[in-house]
Amino acid sequence: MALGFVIQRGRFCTVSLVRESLLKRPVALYGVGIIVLIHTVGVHVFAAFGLTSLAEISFQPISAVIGGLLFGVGMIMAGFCPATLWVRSGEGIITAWAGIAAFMLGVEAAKAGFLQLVYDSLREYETTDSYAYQSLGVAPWWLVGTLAAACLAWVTYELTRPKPKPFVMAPNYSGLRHWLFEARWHPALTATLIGLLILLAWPLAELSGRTSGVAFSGPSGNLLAWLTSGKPKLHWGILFVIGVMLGGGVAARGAGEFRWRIGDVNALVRAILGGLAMGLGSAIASGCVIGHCIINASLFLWQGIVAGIAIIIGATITVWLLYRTPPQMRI
Amino acid sequence: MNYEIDMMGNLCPAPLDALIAANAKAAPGDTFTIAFDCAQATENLPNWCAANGHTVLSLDKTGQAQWRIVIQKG
Repeated sequence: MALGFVIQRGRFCTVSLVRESLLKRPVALYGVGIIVLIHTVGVHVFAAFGLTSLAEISFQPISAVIGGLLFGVGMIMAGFCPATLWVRSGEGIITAWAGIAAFMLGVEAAKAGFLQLVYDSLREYETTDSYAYQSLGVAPWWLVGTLAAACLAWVTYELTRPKPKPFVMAPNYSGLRHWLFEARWHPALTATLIGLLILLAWPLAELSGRTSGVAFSGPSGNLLAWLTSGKPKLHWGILFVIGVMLGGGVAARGAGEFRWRIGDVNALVRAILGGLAMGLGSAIASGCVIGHCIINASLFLWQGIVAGIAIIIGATITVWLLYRTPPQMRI
Repeated sequence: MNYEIDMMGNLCPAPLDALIAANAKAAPGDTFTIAFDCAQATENLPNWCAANGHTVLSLDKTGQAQWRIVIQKG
């Protein structure tokens, strides 16, 4: 729930980070640097102290590339990633609900449904090394140190660079209510909180007997399966995605940003098609944009690195297709 | 002159795209009044203005999940 709250109030959106960066419009991409920095250092320290074990996802190059590309296309088309689908459905946006339904359907169709044969064959070929440091033959700490130093340099550069100050709304409330529900959250604050929360997810999931960080795609599919067949049983991951929606809902309610609304029909159709593509893609590649680009890549899992790059390539192609002409030529 | 842009029910990036499209036709000193209901736009509209030398004259919350922003072209 805390994660849903922070994503809603902090206006965190992986799709806008990718899309606006590609279109060279202002967006705080360095927030990803903060999240990756906290997560990669934190999770390896936790593991060293036995507070969590690390999820070992085997590297299936074909599934990573094809699933990643499909996911990247879907997220730009939908205008949501799985995390923001859950958060913004909490704001009462029906388009996000439709996107979730299509997403869950996509995940289950690939994993357990009529596309299972395709799913299995794409995931058949596995390499022996799961982690990049195994292949490189070095201790994990070398990669953790390098990645952390690179993120630190990037974030420091972005935060010290002079930037024009954006407009701030006049406050109606003071104290805690202002900070929780009204104030504009600085992107660095939002990113720090997200980093800490996805880090804490590891020991929390471990306590409930699951080795997993923050994940959306598997649990979303599991939720549909649980709703329709009662299997698998409710687990930490399923409760987590529901919590993210409730957290987004509480934040939106408190901030006076909750209203049931449908809006533009094109966006609705795109959310459904994009949601379906994201569902198939994340099932095939075993993870979404946050799962691969942020979490698995900063664990140095080959699957995360390769699928992460494939997601960005898929997204880049789709941004080019949908947004390459300037808005004045399109509207 | 003032451009009235109604972006109620349009999710991001539609409000920013509409602003950029209107801005391409406008002269310096012209204003844009945009009504929108995508929470993301409370970030990306002011940020785009700040980065491109336009002034946000006002940004008000006009109801549950709805806002109005007035921008002057720089």
